[in-house]
Amino acid sequence: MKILVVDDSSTMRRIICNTLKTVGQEDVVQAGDGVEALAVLEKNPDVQLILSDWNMPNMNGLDFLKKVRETKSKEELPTVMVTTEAEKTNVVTAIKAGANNYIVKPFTPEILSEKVAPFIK
Amino acid sequence: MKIIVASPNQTAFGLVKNILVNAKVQNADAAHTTGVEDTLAALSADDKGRDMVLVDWEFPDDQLPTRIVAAVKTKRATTPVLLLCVKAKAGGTFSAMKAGANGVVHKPFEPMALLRAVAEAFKPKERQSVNVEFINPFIDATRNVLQTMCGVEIVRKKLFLKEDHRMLGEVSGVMGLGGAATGSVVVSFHNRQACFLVGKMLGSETPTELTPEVCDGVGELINMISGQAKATLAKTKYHFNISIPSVISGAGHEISHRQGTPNIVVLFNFQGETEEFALQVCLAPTGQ
Repeated sequence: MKILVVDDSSTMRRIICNTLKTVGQEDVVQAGDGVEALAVLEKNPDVQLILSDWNMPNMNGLDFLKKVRETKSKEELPTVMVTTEAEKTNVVTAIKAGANNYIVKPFTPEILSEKVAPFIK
Repeated sequence: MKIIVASPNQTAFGLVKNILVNAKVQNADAAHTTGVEDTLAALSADDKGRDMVLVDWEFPDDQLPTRIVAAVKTKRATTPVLLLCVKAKAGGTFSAMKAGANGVVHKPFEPMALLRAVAEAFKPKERQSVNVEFINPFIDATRNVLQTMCGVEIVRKKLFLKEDHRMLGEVSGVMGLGGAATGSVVVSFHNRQACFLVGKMLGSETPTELTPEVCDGVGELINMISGQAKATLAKTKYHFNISIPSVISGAGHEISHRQGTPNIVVLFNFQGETEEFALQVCLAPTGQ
């Protein structure tokens, strides 16, 4: 399955990609912010899972998520937030906006794998 | 007012003396010293806030400037001590800053630069009330982030207040903090440490130099440190918002912090190593 990883940090994108590789997911496309991610999604309609950061330039992860939910439901395109925004209010906001799950940075590879597993087809 | 110039030669002393004479600074006296003992002996017998020590960074014994700073500060913590240092070497002065030096005057200096530094040093200081209750979440976050993402255990060392803007390391991740509390948090590493940490984060070989990728990794570290501390402080008067981190590199680089707010520095080292890195937090409720 194709996965979209969105984060303004190339290091974090590599960390996430490395972890996805360990669970057999190597078909990954990447974007550095919400605007770029929307363009990547348009070019890759076969993306089946999104992992997105929150704080990013141009368009943040929450606004990106809201854009995605305008056309795709949680079931159609699961989206997991991977962010440093660890407050309960942030989690609630993201879930209300349509996030399927929430991973707080820093995370271990085990936590990422575990939280992503329900959405791997 | 007595300005003691600790320098291996007469040049710096002569310059300082001329500047004071030409500027007609009232009741100014200058003394030249070349080591720890004579510098301590040159301090006024009573402590009436009249002394200032300028320490030349260019001694043949490169440890001597730091020893002079430490000795003066041990004898009289309130005496202002400034380093005289060429800008290119300012990044190496952290040992002296840690020992208590109050700042650096870059060589070659214009008369006005020296006079401004003297005026600043003798200006009556407002007493800053230092509340460090917010520092522990940052310390815990630093420890947790480096442990979780890099598998590196760290040891907390000294905590002190810093007045100048110079960073300890050659590469610093900076996060501006806004909202109910404002300020900044900085983590500053030596290049070797930053390369090591980013290599560990990526599970790859340690980069041999400071690449854009290493800088990006340092930015992500301060991002995670800030985010975790933010959550812990969420229900306090220090609640802040974070944004996008930035990274600044180069020996002796400077990062301004909020004026009038205590700037707290915590030093750490990786377990089993002696080289230090610094976490710097400057934070206060907005409006204070």
